[in-house]
Amino acid sequence: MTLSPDQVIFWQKGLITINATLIVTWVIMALMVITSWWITKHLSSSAKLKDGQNILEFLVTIINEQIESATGQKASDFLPFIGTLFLFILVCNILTIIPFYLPPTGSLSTTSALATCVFIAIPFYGIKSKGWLGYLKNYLEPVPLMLPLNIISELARIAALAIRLFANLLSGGLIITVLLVLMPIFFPVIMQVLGLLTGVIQAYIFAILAMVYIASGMANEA
Amino acid sequence: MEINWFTYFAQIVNFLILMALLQRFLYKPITRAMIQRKLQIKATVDEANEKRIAAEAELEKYRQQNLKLQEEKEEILLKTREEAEKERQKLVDKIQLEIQESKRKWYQEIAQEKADFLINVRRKTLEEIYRVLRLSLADLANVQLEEHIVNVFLQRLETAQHELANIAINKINVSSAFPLNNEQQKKISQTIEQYTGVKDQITFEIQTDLICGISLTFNSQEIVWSLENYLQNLSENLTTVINN
Repeated sequence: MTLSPDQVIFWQKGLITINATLIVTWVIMALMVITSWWITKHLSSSAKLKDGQNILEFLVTIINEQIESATGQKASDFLPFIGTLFLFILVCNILTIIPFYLPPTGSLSTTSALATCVFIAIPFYGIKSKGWLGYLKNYLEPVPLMLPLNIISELARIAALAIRLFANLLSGGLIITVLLVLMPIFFPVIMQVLGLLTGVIQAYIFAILAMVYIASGMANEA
Repeated sequence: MEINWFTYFAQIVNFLILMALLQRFLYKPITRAMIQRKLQIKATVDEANEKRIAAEAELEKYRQQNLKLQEEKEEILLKTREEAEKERQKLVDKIQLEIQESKRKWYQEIAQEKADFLINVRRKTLEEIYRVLRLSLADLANVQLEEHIVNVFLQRLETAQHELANIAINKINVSSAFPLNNEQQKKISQTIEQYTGVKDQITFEIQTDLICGISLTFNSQEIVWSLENYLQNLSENLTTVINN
């Protein structure tokens, strides 16, 4: 039984492994970029919109609103990072509706990679906002003795971020697989719908937590 | 359940590439279109606001004009009413004047009619009295009334003889309501001559309005006896009775 798309290997030479995670990721990337390009090719700034533009504007507006409500700051600086995180995870998870599809987010490598990006983004935005000293000072709060604990806390929440997404997707896929074996009709459909809902919620949670962590790194009082 | 490190790094790179591509093909154009639309909407709203302000100003202008017209209308109406009232008053005055004039004429006519009537009554009464008296005197004394009148007139002349004697008289006219016969004329002429000394300058004439009487005219003076005085009293009494 295949639990992770990492295990489906198409080509391997030394350390270089081309597995289902990468292939599916590329396909999804191509899908997202081409769709965006196709829709934004003829954008209208009039009051009458095409459906595609309307959907994209709706998504961007929602993401902006969420970022602003979570951070209380201008959304445009965070939109590419948080928006891409959310949209990528959302598309990966929604496509689980396709039979035999293996979501890249079901791979611990992918979720870890995304969590690492968040891990890098936190000091990036923090230093950009407060400067090197201002940011590093956060780790010495409330007393310098807390430095190791602060570092552990930072790593732990990133690890939690990665594992939460991976585990949710993995468990969803696992349950469906098991149920298909035990009761192939009707019940897996419900679980599939539930999985779809979980996938959307996980995308939202991942993006919002990333935003909160970044915002906390930028805050004056850590 | 383990991490494939190549996949891990590849996914980091993939994510960064995806972020850059989406920034290029999704976020930037969409955000730009949204900002443009917002600006367009703002411009439209601003334009609408300007138009609204202009429309409000226009509305206010028309409202003011309307108010002014209303005031003018009321003023004209008031003026017209005043003029109409003046005209009405003028007509009323004119009509009242006409009524008063008509009333005055009517009263005048009535007064005239009354006076005519009284004159008529008086004349009729006198005629009747004269007739009755004449008949009565004739019946009572078997003497003509004229004879008595002449006698009474001669007595009157006698009474006035001193006054007549003191006046220089050239011409005397004797008027009577009835024709005097020769004897009567002679009697009168003799009496006049006796008192005044005038003989040839005496003329006789008949004057019908001298009721039952004889008058002597000289130097614009007159000596009269007639029923006129009595009848005058009777007439006055009758007038009082009719008026009451």
